[in-house]
Parts: sequence; structure tokens; C-alpha cells
Amino acid sequence: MSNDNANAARSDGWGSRIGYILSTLGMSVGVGAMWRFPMLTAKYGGGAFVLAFVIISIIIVIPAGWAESALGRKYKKSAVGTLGEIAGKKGTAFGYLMAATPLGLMFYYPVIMGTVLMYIYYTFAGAPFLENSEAFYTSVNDNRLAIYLCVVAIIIVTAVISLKGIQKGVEKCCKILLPIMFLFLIIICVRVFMLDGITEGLNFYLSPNLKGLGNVNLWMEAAGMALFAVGLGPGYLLTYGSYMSDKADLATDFVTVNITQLLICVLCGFATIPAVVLFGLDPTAGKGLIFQSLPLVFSQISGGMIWFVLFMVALFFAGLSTTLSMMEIPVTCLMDGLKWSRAKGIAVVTIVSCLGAIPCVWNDAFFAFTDNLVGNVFYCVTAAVIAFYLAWIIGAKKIRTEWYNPTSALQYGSWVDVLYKFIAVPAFAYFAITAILSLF
Amino acid sequence: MSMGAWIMLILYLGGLGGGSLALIAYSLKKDQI
Repeated sequence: MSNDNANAARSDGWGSRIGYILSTLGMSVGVGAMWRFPMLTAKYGGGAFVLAFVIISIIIVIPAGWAESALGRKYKKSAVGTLGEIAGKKGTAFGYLMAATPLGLMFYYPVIMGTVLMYIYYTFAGAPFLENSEAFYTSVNDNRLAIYLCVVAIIIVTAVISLKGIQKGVEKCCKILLPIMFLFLIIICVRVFMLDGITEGLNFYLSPNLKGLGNVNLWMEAAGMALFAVGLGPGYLLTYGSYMSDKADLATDFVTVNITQLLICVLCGFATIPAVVLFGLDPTAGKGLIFQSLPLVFSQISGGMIWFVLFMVALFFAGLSTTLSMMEIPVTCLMDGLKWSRAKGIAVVTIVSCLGAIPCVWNDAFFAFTDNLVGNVFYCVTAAVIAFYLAWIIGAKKIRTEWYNPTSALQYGSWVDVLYKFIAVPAFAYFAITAILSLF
Repeated sequence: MSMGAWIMLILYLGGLGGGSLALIAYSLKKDQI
């Protein structure tokens, strides 16, 4: 593969089926999902939330994910190239909006990963956070220069891996990171299961409060989590789909990604929630759960800091596999839209990301604003528009019968079209309107 | 553990764990690019 070829994005491709699955899984399982899913599960009564998540994944996420992936594979271009080809200049402009979403995420997502890196460092430096975890978390947050240096390092590592291309860079890296992350999670779960009195915590995490299924908020939170955890909207699935061969069974592969993603989220819950409950801490503490509660929990287990570091490394690997996908979308759009080489696109995205991270690191209000604008509004709007265009303009039936059913091991019927057009699209539209209203 | 917790544990390990492992094994076996 030539990195200097303007069409390198499409001269490259997945080297194997498992490579696509692990890379897409790496894109979808990030730092956010790994703490947010267990927290929401604990908040909404264990199995009820997971059940809602599974139902929403089946009726909304899977039909939409199949269509976006199939769109990418059909045109074998970036978001800009694909939408420009099917919808002209308006499509190109919308493609750039899609690319702006992961680029904007690169401004603040590595900040959370930077905090994870610092905690890994401090664990080896005597774990000072055990004395007063809340004050220590605040002091880490206040050390802006150190966090920024971590952010720059993370962005540069992402760029170096991306420079090697999709197969030798992203795929090869995810084939290493994801199995290690999975193994670490399993090891921690086994250790947590062996704790005396853990049944109390397991009961809390596992016992299904089916009455909770009547709670509208549960469904909204589960939908928000399920819809955006797999990267529907800003071109992730489209771009990763564009690297698939015409023979690939994308329908089965996307289902594999979806189920395995859910398994990893549930495992994160097993690794954290029962132990947090056992030691009398709040399992719904959000980000504080990771940086304030978990160190205290693991410190009470023999060899505790080893387990804490393993969890933090797993978190970091999940984040790194996600930043790889964040860089890939704008880079491929620059390659297609401006005919830049991959190296030039990566260099520009790296510099812009490092500059954009400055206000996010030093200004908490800007961080929160960017998080809402990019991680909520852009995400929801792009997901709604692309779903509407695919389901109603191109046609859900055409996509199913011509784009993915011919290569699928199973043949999916017209029920998929009904779910996509009448449930998924209105759900996306609702989230988009809600997100836009949140700006005012 | 309560009965409900056991049922959920079996569903998680059997359904999600078994399902994802089976699908990954299938994809490794039929590794078309």
C-alpha cells in the first residue's frame, strides 16, 4: 500500500474478517461505554436495563448499522466521497459535517484517556490517590499541562498507527489491543467473583427489576447508549464498511460486533459494580466510579493495585482503539474531498486535534460545550439525516435486497425495512430534535 | 444468589458469552475477506 497515493483509502482494506470485527468493536467500545454502561445498569435495576438495550439493538441499531455499513461497501469511499456521489454538493457538505464529528471528539476524548494514563503512572508511584481519592482526582484534573502532554502523546501514537494504513495499522493494532483488553476484563471478573461476600454485589448487579421496564427514562437511556455506542451517524460504519470486500458477510459481522460489544460492557459491570456495592460505595457515581471509587475498592483486595492497573490498561486500550477510528474518518474525507495523501491528511488532523485540545484541557466550560455540540448534537443530527436518507430516499428494501442480503449467510425479510423506516428513523429524529433543543 | 440473579448470570454467560464466541468462531472459520 502506498501512503502517498490519493486513492490509498480504497487501495487498502481489511486483511481478514476477524480484523474487521475487532476493529469495529474497538471503535464502538470506548472509555465512555466502559464506565457508563455499568453505571446505568446499576441505576436501572440490573437485567431490566440490559434487556432494554438488547431489544433496542435488535429493532433499531442492527437495521441501521447494516444499511450504513452497506452504503460504505457499495461506494468504497469516505463519507465525503460517498455522499458527494449520491447527493452532489449538498452530500459533500454533509459528509464534511460527518467528518467534523470525530474530529471534534479528538479535541476532548483523549483528555479522559490522559487522566487514565496519569492514574496508571501514579499507581506505580505509590498510589497516592488512596489517601484522599476525591482531592487527588481534583489535583490531577488541575494539572492541565501534564494532561495536555498526555493528550498530545495519545494523538501522536494514534497518528503513527494510522500512518501504516487500515490493514497494517488499525487492524493489526486492534487485533492486539482488543484480545488483551478482553483477557484483562476476564481476569478481573474472576478475581472479583472470588471475593468473600460478593453475592450481595452480584445480586445487586444481576437481579432483574422488571418493573423498571415501565420506566420511560430507562428506555431513553438504553436507546441513547445502544444507538451511539456502535458509532451510527458520523461515518464510522460507513468508512469501515468501505474497506470491506464485495464478498464479505457484513450483516453477520455487524451482529457479531453488536453482541460482543454488549458482552464487553456487561463484563465491565461484573468487574466493577459488585465489588463497589460490597465495599459500600455508590455504584452510580459515573466517572467518579472509575477514578475515585475503584482505587478504594481494589485497594481492599489482596494485590489490589495490580487489578486496578489491569482495569486502567483495558480502559486505555479501549480508548486507543476508538481514537484510531476517530482519526480515520476525517483523514479519509480529506483524501477523497481534497485529493490529499494519507500522510498529509493524518498530519493535518493531528495538528488540528492537538490545537483543538488546548481549550478543552484548560477550560472546563469549553470541554462541556464541545462534548454537547459534537458528542450529542452533531452525532444525533448526522445519525438522523443519514438514516432518513438511506431508509426513505435510497430505500430500505433496495439496501436490504441488493446491498447486504446477497452476501449474507441469512436472508433477512421485509420486517427489517419496517423496523428501519418506522422505528429507527423516528427514534433518530427524536434524539436529533432533543439534542438541538439542548443548545437553547 | 437470588434465583433472578442466577437466571441473568446464565443468560449473560450463555447468551452473550456463548453467542459472541460462537459468532467469532464462525467468522474465523469462514474468514472471507
